[in-house]
Amino acid sequence: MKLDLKELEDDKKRNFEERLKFIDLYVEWLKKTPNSVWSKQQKKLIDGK
Amino acid sequence: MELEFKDNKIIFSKEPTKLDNLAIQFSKILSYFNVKHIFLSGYIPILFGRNRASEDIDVVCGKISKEVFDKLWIEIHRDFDCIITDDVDNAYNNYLLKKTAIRFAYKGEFIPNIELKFVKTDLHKTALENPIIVELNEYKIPISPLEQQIAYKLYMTSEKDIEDARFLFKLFEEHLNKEKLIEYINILKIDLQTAKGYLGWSD
Repeated sequence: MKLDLKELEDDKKRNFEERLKFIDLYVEWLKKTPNSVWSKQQKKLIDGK
Repeated sequence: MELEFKDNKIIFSKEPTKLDNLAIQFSKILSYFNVKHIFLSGYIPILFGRNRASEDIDVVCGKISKEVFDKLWIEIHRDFDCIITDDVDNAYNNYLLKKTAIRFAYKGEFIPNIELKFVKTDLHKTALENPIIVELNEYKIPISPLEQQIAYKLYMTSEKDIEDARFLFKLFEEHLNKEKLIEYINILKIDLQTAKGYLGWSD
C-alpha cells in the first residue's frame, strides 16, 4: 500500500483546526447554559453513567 | 454558565463528577494538615466544564516535614491507597524528596488517581503563592492562576494541551490579565503570534 503522507498530514492539521473551532462553539454554548444542565451532561460523559 | 468572580475567588456550583469529588476530598485532607497546595494541569479545564476524561489529577504541595507526612499518610489511607508504594518512608524519601510524584487512588481502584508532588519549579512556587480559590459547591479548591495554566498548556504543545489552553482562554477571556498572560508566554519562550493563533486571540 502506498500512502500519501502529505495528504495525511494535511488531514491531521485540518482535524485539529476543526477541533479548535468546535471548542469555540462549545464554550459559547457553555456560557449561555445553566450549570445544572452542562454539568449533568459532563458528569454523564466523565463518570460514564 | 453562572460563575461569580470575587477578588481571587471563582465561585460556582455544578453536579460534581467523580474527578471533582476526588479533588474535593483530597484537598480537604491536605487543608486539614495546613498543607499549602494547588491543583493544576488537565483537571482545571475539566473542573470548568471541558468534556474530556483524565486518569489523574495533578496536585503540587509545599514541602512538608516527614512528621507531618506520616500523619497525612495515615489520614489519606482511610479512603485511598498509594498505588506507587505502600511504604511511607519510601514514598517520602525516594519519591517526594527526589521531586517524583506519588499517586493515590480510592481503595481497590487504580484510576482516577491523585498525582501528588512537592513544589519543584519556579512556576509552581509562583502558583502556590498566588492561587485562585475555586469555591465549588461551597468546597474550596486552590488552583494555579489561569494565565499560568494557559501559557503552560501551550508550552506543552500536544494537541490535547493546546485544546485545553484554547478552552480556558475562550471561557475566561474577559477576566484574564492579558499582560500577565503575555508575561508567562514570554517566560516560556513561546512565540506570541503562534500563541495568539492557537488561542483564537484577536486584539
